[in-house]
Amino acid sequence: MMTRWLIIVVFLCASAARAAVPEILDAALAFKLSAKVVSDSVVEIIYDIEPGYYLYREKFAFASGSANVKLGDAKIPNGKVKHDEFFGRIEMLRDKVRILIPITRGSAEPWNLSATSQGCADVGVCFPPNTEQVEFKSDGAVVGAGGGWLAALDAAAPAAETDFLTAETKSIEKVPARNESANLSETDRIATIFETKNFWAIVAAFFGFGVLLSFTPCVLPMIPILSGLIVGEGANVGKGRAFSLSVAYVLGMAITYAIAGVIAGLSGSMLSTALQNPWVLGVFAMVFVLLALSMFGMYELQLPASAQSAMSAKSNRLPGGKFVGVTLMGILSAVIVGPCVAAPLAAALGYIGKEGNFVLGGAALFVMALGMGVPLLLVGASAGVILPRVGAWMESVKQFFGVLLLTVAIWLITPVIPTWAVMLLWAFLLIGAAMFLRALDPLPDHVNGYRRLWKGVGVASLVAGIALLLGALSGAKDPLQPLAGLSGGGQKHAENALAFQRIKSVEDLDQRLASANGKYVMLDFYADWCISCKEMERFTFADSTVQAQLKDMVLLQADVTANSEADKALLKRFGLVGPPGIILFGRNGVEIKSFHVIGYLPSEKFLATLARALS
Amino acid sequence: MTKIRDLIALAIAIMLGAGSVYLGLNWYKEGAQQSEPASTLSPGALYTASFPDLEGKTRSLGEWQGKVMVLNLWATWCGPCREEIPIMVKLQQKYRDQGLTFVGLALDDKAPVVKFANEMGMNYPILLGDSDLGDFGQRLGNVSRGLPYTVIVDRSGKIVTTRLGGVDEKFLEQMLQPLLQNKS
Repeated sequence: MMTRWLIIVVFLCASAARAAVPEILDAALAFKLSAKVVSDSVVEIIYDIEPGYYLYREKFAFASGSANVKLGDAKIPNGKVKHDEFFGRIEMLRDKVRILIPITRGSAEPWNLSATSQGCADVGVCFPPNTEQVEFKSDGAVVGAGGGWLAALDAAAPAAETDFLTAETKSIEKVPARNESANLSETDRIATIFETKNFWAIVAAFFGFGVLLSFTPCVLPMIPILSGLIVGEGANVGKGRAFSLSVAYVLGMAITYAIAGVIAGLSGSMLSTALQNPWVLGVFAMVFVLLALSMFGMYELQLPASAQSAMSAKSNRLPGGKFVGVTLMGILSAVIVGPCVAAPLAAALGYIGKEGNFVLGGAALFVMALGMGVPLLLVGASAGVILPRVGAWMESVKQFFGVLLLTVAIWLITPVIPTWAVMLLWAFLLIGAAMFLRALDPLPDHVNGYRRLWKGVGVASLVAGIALLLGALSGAKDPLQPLAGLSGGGQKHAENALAFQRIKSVEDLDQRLASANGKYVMLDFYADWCISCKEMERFTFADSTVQAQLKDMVLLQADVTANSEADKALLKRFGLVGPPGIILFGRNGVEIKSFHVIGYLPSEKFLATLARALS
Repeated sequence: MTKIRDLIALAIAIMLGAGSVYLGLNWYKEGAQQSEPASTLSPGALYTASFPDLEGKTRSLGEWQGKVMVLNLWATWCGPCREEIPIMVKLQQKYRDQGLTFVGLALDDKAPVVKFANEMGMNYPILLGDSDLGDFGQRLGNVSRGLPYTVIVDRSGKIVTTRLGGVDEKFLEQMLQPLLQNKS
């Protein structure tokens, strides 16, 4: 759950960063090129195409830059056909384009390939043909175009990568590739990435947090301390020296945070047990709300000024200029500045505590501190020439954290409060955020797209908030479909629902099976909290074809929301730990094992599974 | 009673939804066409730039000093470029006598450009910028090197506006009218 929030946060950060760049990307960014060696005789060129951009299939050109490597005809996937009055038939390729190029090479020397592509953006802008160089080393490694970048993608997009694996195996069937073991080892490699991906994704997210935190005014008091240290070195301190001093300082700070992270990780299991208690959850949520208020500038959260200056004074007496001293100073600074970033820090520690992994905890907070140290390193590298300008945007970052903290607060108490209350809270948060995004303030005539984007986000947030509010007031039960009750779909759905008979226990089931009179019997395990059960109910079981197929069956349903002893016994009989689970019994009352539906199946798949079981 | 309340709620939700879609689309459309002049090119530097025309003669942009000039960067391989050329042909016809000239700077090979210009009846000067304008495109403010890219220059050589992506007739009329009326 927390991971989901992290992903959302990272996504928000990423989209904010994306919104800051000009709307039209450069061709090299819109069409990211990477390459890999499939076998001795095939290389693969991959274009990752940004949404809203496309490449012309006819416009690719590949040329070998080495005399002893000859390229065969490139296998380019088919695109979407469009008729152009000037060119006639053209094909447009989107998303991810994988091009296989057969090669024949005289020797195993490194070689290079130039790849030319041409494409356009949907908004009505085209790019000139873009040629990029890809270098292949003799051992098959790819240098230059996107080697490292591809590796990063492997970790970030596991689903896409799996798809691609199957696609790859399929598409190279016809080309003389190496044997299957090559593919297998590839799978293994990716599997390892899967296992470690979470760790690095989290660590990367925390680094991002740190960089964001460095935009809050909290880091500002550190700048004079650091500048003072560097100046203390003497007037003609070299840039290298100034930079390494800053590194020592930032490391000191990072170590302090890492220790906090390790402690949080070690106390983790304790923390997460305590987190199950409604009162503890309530208190935590309140703390988060209070911290959020500080982010919105309702009050300042800081050590008393006297304590701060006493600490600064003390740190100034430490032997300046020496690396150990500077590192100590970094540690002290972390303590001075800590309370200012306490709010996000507490959130981070809470998360790590929940994960209960102290290595992760330490690493995550260490890189977070490194992220916070980025501006300090810049100050150091420039020997104090660059100083960030204080501005309204720093306030925006604080407000962003404020909203984030309120989100965490709501998330914390979601399990222990009724749905309508959850929806009300989300509604208030979304509407409040919309106000901060100025959803209702008129835009001045000549503002940039960035402002408009944020207003758009604000309006969307406002609409979502109002929808949730309406939903809460009209008794909706699903925060994701707050208006379901208003559209009339709810009633229709009730009419369409399958008529399941409820059973309560194993005995109940046996009795029903005995009285089924040679009919097929289907047993559906259901619980209120089971999302895929609801999906089955809403989509698959509402499908008229499915209903027609099930019309002659005895339909039983076990509601195991309460998880009573009788419920557990029922689940255990079918080797289930909990819902979802659908069991089918033959005309003789014996379970048909080949039909084993666990999790959501769309109508077509459900029907196929059913047909197979009945045949 | 509940029905009325539900209907009102639904109506509000639909209005808000439609509103946000409209705003979003609006932003999307305007975002694609940056109308702030992004170029730092001085009139002097602009008017000394020169390119070969379709006859192979070198032509300098300074030739059109004193006119309102619409410099349109395009290519035959660029669909959106081809779509806006009929508008330019039409406006060239309409305002030629008031001191307007379009100049088509094609980032393309000569042969397809000649063919296309004949088919479309392009009635304004066409210069060949090869496949790449190099530094000049950047200095015109076309950082992403996307096409079409349109630069509107007043009679004194000052760049009034630049736009990435297609232009429509209304936009050009609106931009050009005041510039044409200013005779100095």
